[in-house]
Amino acid sequence: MTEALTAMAGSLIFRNALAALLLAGVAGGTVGTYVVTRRLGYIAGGIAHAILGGIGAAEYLRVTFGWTWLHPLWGAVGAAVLAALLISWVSQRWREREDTLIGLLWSAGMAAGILLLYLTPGYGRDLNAYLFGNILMAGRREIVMLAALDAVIAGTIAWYYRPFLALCFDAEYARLRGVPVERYYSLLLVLTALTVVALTVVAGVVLSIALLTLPAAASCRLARRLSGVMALAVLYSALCGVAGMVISYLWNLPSGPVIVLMNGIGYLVLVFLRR
Amino acid sequence: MKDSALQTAAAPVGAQTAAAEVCHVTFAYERREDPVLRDISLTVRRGQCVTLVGPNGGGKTTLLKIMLGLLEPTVGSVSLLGGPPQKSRHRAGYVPQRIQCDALFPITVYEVVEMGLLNRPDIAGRGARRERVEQMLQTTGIAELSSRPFGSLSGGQQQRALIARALVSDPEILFLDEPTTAVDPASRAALLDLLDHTRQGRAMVLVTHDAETVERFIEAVYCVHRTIHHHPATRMDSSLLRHMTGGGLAEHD
Repeated sequence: MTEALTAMAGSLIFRNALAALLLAGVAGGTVGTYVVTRRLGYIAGGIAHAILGGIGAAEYLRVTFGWTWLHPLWGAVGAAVLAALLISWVSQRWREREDTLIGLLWSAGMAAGILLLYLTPGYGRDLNAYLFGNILMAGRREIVMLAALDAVIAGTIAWYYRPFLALCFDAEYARLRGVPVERYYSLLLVLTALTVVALTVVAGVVLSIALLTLPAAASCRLARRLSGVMALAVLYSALCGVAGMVISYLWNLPSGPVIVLMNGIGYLVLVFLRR
Repeated sequence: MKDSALQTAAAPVGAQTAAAEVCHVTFAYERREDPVLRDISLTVRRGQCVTLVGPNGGGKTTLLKIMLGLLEPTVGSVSLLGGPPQKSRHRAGYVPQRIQCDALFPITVYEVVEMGLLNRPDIAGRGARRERVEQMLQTTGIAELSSRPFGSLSGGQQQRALIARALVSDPEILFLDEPTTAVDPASRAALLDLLDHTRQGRAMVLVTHDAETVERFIEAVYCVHRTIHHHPATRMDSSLLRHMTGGGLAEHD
């Protein structure tokens, strides 16, 4: 086993995957804390599935028109931010329509993505890599993008920590204190969208929600402050991620699902221990 | 919404001396629905305590939220501290009936109280904020709970923390929505003592179902049930309050 682990540590693919995993965990742990405490899981699910439409569109344009600069992740970022702003706009004006819109984005985004990938000439990439993730495909470009996303997310959270805390704990009181709640809610959904994109690199569109919610949900049982939950969730993500990668390497299993399962098992253990 | 904002901006006569003034306000949650409140007028003078009583669903909390600018009146105008509520509500304190918060929400009592200093650029420094919050925690008797998770407190302790949050910015008017709900009788008396002690001459609007609370702050009692009526009570007991808050009380004419 020691030899296998040494070989794994020496592999460039593994090192890239590890870097991508840790970077995605920073976004997932911090923003996931807001998603869990503000109960935005369903919205994040809608955004995650809408992302496939953006990936499909970027892939189609890249191949059909030779736009080689258009990485599918940029398509994902565009679709995610658009979906987040649309949900925010609708929920602030017609709250009763929010569920319908999320359902629409969830299914129509996925359908559009599958269709566009099907129509892409010479399309040969595995759809499963987008749906369930393949962190071993992460290269230098993905790592730079994830680092940039982390910088934007961490900077925004550090700057607006108190208003975000007030928004998640008691939005009505925040409004009373003059916090522009609607604007902060939109910003929070955009951060959620960017984080979901980061997590699709690790676990794909379908499984990314688990990485967004489980580390924060588990850490909520251990920390008293929101900032403490964020720090623990990042650590939890890293530990479960590394454990998942080692197991998937040793038993030759797909890494995304194993990492998600490690997060799930860890959460259940904590729930049992901290009842 | 724009119409009511314009109406609100034109402060009613007497707004300069009134802490809050409500002029002929009618409110419905949906335009096609029956109004929850009809033609409400009410003035709260600076330093005065106004108590709102009435049956459940009579519109007391709605009226409070209209006065704070959290809901826009369908018809009529509201002035708070001499201006539109949206501009001046940060100078008011508010203790909600209850917070729909998850028991596991990761926030300490200190952080809850500190929230009351949001948008106070004059108390921007970390040291000044800490001093202010710690002083308020002492005043409200929950200093030893400062680092405890808010969700782990009892109903009475949570209510004290919310009162501390409302008072930490030294508001000119305080709105309290059933502050003694979910509080045991022993804690209720202590909570009323606290409110009395910390009031310091500021105006107060109090929504309550509790005779002891009304009796303690009996200056101006209004019964809210779709419309509003001033009640000339100078003493309050549970049978009179029962009559005013339910007990077959008909909608006001």
